Amino acid sequence: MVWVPGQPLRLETENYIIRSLTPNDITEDYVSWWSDAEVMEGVARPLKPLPKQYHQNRVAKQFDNRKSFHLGVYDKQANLLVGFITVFANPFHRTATTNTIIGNRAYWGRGLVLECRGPVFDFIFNELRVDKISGKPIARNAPSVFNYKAQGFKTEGLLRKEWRYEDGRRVDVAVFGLFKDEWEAHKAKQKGKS
Amino acid sequence: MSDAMNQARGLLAQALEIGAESLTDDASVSSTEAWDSLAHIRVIAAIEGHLGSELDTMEILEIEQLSDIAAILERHSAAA
Repeated sequence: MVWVPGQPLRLETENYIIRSLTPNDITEDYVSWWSDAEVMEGVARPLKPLPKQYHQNRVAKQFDNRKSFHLGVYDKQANLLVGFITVFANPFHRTATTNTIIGNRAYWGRGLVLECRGPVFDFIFNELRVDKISGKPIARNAPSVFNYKAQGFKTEGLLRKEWRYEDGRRVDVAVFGLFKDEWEAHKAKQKGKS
Repeated sequence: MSDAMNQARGLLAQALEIGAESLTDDASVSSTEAWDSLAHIRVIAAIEGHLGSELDTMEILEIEQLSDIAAILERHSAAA
């Protein structure tokens, strides 16, 4: 792949296009996901509806396509934005964190996360030259936990009642980590099975 | 094969909506096609339904393969 730091990233899988979002890509669907309790269940964040302009500004200012990426996931056939993957890299520690939100419910349980995060992890390890990727899902969010485990992440710990929902409930957060050699071993194992 | 392993196989097969005979001893989240992210919710619900109690969060994080489910059932059985 050819990627120039600071320029938009574009990746492709069998069924999806994964590419850097720009302010013009922000749709009303995207805006609605941020205030949808079920969609945001796994990240426990304020659900106050915010205007489209707010999200457009955030996308323009927060992500530089060097160390921070906000990648839209598009269904190739429908040319439809169905979710996003966010990546923050720390060049000094050579670590990265990721977060995935599939906003369009029709795409839940269809293997989208596994299909789309694979090339994103390859990009993080090979192009950003990161040694380790971490993720912090809510520990009782079974689909999220499943996706980390199914991609070879190791459970590194549990942060007790780390986050809180708007209604005041506190929830445990799991810490998952994946080193580059573990990712390569996982891919080789999967390839051997197919 | 242990009782716990047999029970675990039955629970997992039920949650994944497949025949128990199709689950090998090393069945895992990355090797079993029917074990997807939404099925994982059903797997945890099936175990909790069988035990009659909620799993501890650490136990939820443990579940990665058939033998992990058997180990949880065995532990709860020993504690009962």
